[in-house]
Amino acid sequence: MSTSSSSPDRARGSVLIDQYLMGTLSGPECAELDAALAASGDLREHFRLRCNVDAALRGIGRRRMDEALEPLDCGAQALSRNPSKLPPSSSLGWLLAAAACAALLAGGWMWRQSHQVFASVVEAVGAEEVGDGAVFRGEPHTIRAGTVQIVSALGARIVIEAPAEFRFESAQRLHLRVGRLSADVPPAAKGFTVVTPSGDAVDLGTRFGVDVPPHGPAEIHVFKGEVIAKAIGAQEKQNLRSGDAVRISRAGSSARELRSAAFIQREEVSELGAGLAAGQRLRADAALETLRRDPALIALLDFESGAYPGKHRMVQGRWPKSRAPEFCQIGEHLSINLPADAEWSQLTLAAWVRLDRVGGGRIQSLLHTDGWDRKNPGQVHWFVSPHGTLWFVCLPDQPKGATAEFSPRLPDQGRWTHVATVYDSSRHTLRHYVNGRFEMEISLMTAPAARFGPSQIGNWNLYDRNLSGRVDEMLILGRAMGDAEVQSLFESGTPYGAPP
Amino acid sequence: MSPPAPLAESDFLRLFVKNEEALRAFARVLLPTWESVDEVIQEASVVMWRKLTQLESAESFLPWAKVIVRFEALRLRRDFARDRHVFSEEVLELLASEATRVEEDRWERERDALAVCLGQLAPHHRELVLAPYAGGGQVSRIAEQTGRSVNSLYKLLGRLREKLVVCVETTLAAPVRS
Repeated sequence: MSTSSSSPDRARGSVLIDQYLMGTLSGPECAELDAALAASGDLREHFRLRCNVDAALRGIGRRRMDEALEPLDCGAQALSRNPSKLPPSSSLGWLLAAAACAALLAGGWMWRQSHQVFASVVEAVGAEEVGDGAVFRGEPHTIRAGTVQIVSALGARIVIEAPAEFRFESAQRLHLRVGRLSADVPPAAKGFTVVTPSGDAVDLGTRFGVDVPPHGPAEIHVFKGEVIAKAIGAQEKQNLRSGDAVRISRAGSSARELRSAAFIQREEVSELGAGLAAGQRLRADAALETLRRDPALIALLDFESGAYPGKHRMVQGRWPKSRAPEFCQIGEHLSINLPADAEWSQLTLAAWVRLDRVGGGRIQSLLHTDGWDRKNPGQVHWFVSPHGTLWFVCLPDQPKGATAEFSPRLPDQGRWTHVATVYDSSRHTLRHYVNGRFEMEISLMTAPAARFGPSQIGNWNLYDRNLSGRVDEMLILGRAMGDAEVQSLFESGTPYGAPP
Repeated sequence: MSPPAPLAESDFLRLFVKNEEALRAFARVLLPTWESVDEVIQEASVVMWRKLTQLESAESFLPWAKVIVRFEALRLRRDFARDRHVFSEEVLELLASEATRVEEDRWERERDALAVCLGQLAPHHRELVLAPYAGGGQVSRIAEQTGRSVNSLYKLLGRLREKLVVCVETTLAAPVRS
């Protein structure tokens, strides 16, 4: 319905109307516009639309100015007729100030023109509660599954991952009661603030993430730029810069390690949406069903139901509504009981992981058997090395010749990555795969048959092997998969698709 | 059936704040400057306050308030009568009557669409579009900062405003997505 330039008269009328609204119309041009409006009902309707757009722009512009001013003082001064204490955009003088304070004191925020649109959904992936194009005013929202990318009226791009509860107080203030978000804030929206139950994150032109767990204090992670963190009840504000992370609470703030993979960034949302639209979830489910019927299956963990022993946080996996354990603090792990009485001459280990960092000088456990001992040869340890490479060790009974071998460095990105290792003791070979692609084969000097028993994912019972990130699906198969089969495993399980 | 209870002061405040932007948009159709719009809305709010007992229900607030705004706008227009930048009485009557007939839902959807369209502009373009509403001299300040002439910025501003209007029209014409 783009009719603005459909005819010379209309085009001329549009220009004159805009000049009129901008206050740059000359006297003769005003007479010309007057005549054109008198003659055309279409142009009058277009005039009305442009006036409405002008009003909306002014409203947004004025609210930005309001937000840049000091907050309303609800004391006696505000209830006086002192106009300097009033929101500049209000027309009701002291009456409105009184109403605003009353509303604020009642814990409300509705006075701030709650019918205004503060933000809208750019893309919703698997979020049933909100769809593309949905708008946010001041009302609270809950998303139970999926991911939503939102743009504020001032251009801040926000990705919220379920489960989350949030509401916009204005285009510049977002309350996040629970959930995770990443924000990419342009200069025009500088000052964008995320309000959490334990404190605020005020942007100074940056990209940052906020994690508000269901229980416990919020965390702020700065990927780029600068953010001010202020814990509720704290006197001091804290300036955070690129690479900084902090946990904020009334009891005081504490530094954290940056968790890049904990937050879905806006570039990733479109790929997740494309994957879902292309039916990847169905392909992945079908592939899992086939694997469950494999006679050589030792374990297939999808984490979708039941409780797993150990200390970890269940968060969203690769799919909307799916679950994946997340590990963060030292000591967090998930315990599993694998068969202890069988030996496996061939193994395929595969998992979807989302790592906060790759390398960084520490070992991150994917799967560690608890019974690691020379007297118990064949115990398996599979992990990401301090150098960010994939390692596999099958413990031999001799002091020398442990088969610790590694892959090339894993992709250095906070995204879902598929890792797989195929061990063949009869051929004395180890083959590593990353995202379905064969990376390298290693010839082993010693290659005992593999054995399991009680094991941990995300850590080890003897030493800290702290994985920071999420693990979604782990396959432990008592046979060697071929290259094509691993490739197929990746392709059927990837949550990503090519955006249109 | 008992008559509806009169609206309380707090009801009026709530209704006014809720509908203030709608009233401003309506007044903008009738008045040549934002200063005159602000003045009329201010005057109209006093009249509404005085005549609150005439209002039958909260649902009828907006049409009732628009009548008052229209009256106040046309009254103020007489002060502008000699100004060459004011429409004729005939055109103003047409604009007022036709704008009154447009359903409030339509006005609201247009403003919603504008917020969405604005969010899609490049940050520096958005800054420029909002500059005229942020107090005097803001466009000149941007010109200083960017090294561009004020004239060229106003031309760009005109193109961006046109783009926003086209975006609003296109958004409203598109099928509703849920």
